[in-house]
Amino acid sequence: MKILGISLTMFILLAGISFGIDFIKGYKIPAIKSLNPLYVMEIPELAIMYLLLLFLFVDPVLSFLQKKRNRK
Amino acid sequence: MSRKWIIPFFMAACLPFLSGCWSSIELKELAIVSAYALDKKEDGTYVGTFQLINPMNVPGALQGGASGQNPSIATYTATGDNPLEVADRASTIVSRDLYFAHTSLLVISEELAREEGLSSILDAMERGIEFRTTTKIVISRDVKAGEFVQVLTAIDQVPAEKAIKSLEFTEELYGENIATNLQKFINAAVSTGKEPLVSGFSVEGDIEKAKTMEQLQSSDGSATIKVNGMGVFKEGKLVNWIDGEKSEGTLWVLDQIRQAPVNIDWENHEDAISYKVVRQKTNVATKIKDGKPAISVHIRAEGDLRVIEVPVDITNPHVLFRIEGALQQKIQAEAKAAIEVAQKTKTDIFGFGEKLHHSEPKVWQQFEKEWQDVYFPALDVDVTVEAFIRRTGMRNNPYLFDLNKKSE
Amino acid sequence: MEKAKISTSQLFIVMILFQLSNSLLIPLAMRAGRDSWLAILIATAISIFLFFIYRALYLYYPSLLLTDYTEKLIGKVLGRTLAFLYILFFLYSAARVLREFGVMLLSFAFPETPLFVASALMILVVIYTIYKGIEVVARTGELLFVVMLMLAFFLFLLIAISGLIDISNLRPTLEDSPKILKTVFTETLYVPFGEIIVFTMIFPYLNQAKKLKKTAVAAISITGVALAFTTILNISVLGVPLIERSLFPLLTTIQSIEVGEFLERLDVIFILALIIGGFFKVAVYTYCALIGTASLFNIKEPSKLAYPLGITVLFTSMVIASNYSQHIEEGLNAFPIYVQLPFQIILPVFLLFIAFIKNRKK
Repeated sequence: MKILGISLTMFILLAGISFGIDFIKGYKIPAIKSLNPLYVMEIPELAIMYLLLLFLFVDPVLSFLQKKRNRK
Repeated sequence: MSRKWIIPFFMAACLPFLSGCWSSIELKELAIVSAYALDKKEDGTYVGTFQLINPMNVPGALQGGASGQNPSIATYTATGDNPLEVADRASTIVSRDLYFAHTSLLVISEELAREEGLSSILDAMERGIEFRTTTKIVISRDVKAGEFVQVLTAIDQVPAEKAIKSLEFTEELYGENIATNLQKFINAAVSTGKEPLVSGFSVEGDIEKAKTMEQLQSSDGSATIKVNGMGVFKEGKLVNWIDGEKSEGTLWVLDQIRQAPVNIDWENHEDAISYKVVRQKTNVATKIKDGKPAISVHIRAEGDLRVIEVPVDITNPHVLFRIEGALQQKIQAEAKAAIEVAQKTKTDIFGFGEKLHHSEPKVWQQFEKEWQDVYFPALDVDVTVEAFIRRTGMRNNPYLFDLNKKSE
Repeated sequence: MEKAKISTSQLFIVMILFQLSNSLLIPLAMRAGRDSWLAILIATAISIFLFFIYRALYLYYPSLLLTDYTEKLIGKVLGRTLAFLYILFFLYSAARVLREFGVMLLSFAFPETPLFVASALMILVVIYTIYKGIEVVARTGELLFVVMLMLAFFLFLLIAISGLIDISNLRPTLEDSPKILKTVFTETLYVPFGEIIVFTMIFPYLNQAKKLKKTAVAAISITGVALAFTTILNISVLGVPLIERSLFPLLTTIQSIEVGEFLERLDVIFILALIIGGFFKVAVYTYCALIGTASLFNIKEPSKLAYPLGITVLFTSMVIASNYSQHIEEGLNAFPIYVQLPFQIILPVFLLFIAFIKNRKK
């Protein structure tokens, strides 16, 4: 979970940097719209994206189960 | 019985089954129908034209010898009171059993589609065991359906295949057509909240010559089969044609665009910048406002710049964002125009009614009966578009931009 | 920090591949026009000087990573913040390279493939490699280096045979010398030369610390010469106006090869160079971010970070810009000055200054 938290924080900060650079250059794109490359996705693409995101949770869940077993 | 006889016994027992099925037909007794065309005579009987594949003359991968001498198809015509009777009559003329499982194209003449509609014909097709529901339907525009299937084509030896391919290519590359099959057509026709669209085909050139081998002996051919517009159906009958930009607009709203060029004007130059859509997504949302349904259509597209005929500095993202703005207006205008036309003809080809039915099933009941004639034409449709340019091809600025810099 | 060692030859190869990577493919120092190759050579010379700054820092703390000794130099809170910022900088750079890689691949080879899918496939390979650790990255480098060398040799041979080289395209030289210096200090110094800052994260893995100076200086000079040479090749084949319009000059050069009516359309060479280079740069950047994060946040199994960080890079590469022009524009006019200049030059100099003062007291 710690690792996921770190990664998420990093992603938010990185998106912030990219938005900051947009801002410095004076592109009038609202913050949410700078996510626009993720807008237009076909179904296979979406499936791949969600699958990749799902894999993020495989490791934390497994180690959580392991801990539970060890406690017993 | 000893054990060693068991296996041979079962093997022998299988032999009777291997001889074939109950109603077996030899391959040489079949005539494979590639396209079925239906016209109507003045006295109300149907005229069916069957495009049969002539296997001797279709060149295979290895033997190309026989082609070029004779046409790879043969057509037969028969009349009857319903489509199946026509087919039965045709069998007697052909001297073989007509085999419909490979029929990929059903051609209906414009006259028949307008006057009688397709409802009465399609039942026979849907009910028959051989006919597939994935058969594509097209309408022959300004030409008899029977003549349409008689035109020979050069590169694709079987004209029905050629027609389907050009249909699919125009759908994919231009976004001006839609390939409708039997199943889709019937589903849309049955639904109260949606009307079907069917692509039209026409023949340009000398049809009489195009039926003979002369067609294949010249490089340009005497006549060509062409996709031409989309027919709008209402209650099973053809009511209107949509052509050109309006058909593109229709497909935008239908979420059917796969790749389509969009040209915009730039600084007094007409169609100066061409944009190619690579992906698009259309969301249709429905809501009830003051007891009236309202639809909002949101189109998102992404693509590349393909042609730039004016000197613009596209390395500057601000300029690209301005081009995106112009594209959005253009797409929005196309979509709006298409919706207006549909509202005028009172046909909900976009399936807005169906969407409303899905999201507000209770409210839908009060609109259902008069949806096409009263509510749909008065519908408040809001179209918003977001178009993104992702790439600009292999170059950044057009060389015109450099030329202009020099002259300054 | 994981327990691993790399040899000097591996470091040499990793440095060369890392720096060549995307800079081989994109128009480099094009603002200096015809003299861009000179700008590259000047930047190379300056970057050797930069390397000595990084090396001096490394010599103060030979067993620590950059993200570790910041804490020792400027205190716990500030040092850790700075280390975190460096990690973000590495990830952001990785994302930029990944985006460039994806767009290049789609622009000329797979126009209808979604960018996300192309980038995702690449990052999955990167994730697997960095999951295995620095030794695997280095060994992959050894393997790929041979391929790159062969490609380069083959390519040069073909260009030379096909008689495309027109040296007069390079003339006149030194038309506008202030412009060359301006290009060096606003652009070329940071990409690709200043990027060797990531190697402050890799130097501690070296098994023969004494040979570091020789190896790195050789690697930097060879890269510089190779890049300048490629630029000269591009300019002499294509001429400056065409390069300015090209998104990928090397590809345009390759496409103009015509030898004996059958050696044509050799785009595949470009694709190979692109994939090898793109993979390597993304992998090194992400790996450095990974070990940095692991030591900063005290994570016992650094390899567990590989997947989450890889996905972070992937998504960042998607949201970095709306279109490629914007990406390039930011990469030329904003990223070097606002981000790379402080992280690659100002902060290391500042850190070295503090290290110098601190160690003098002793």
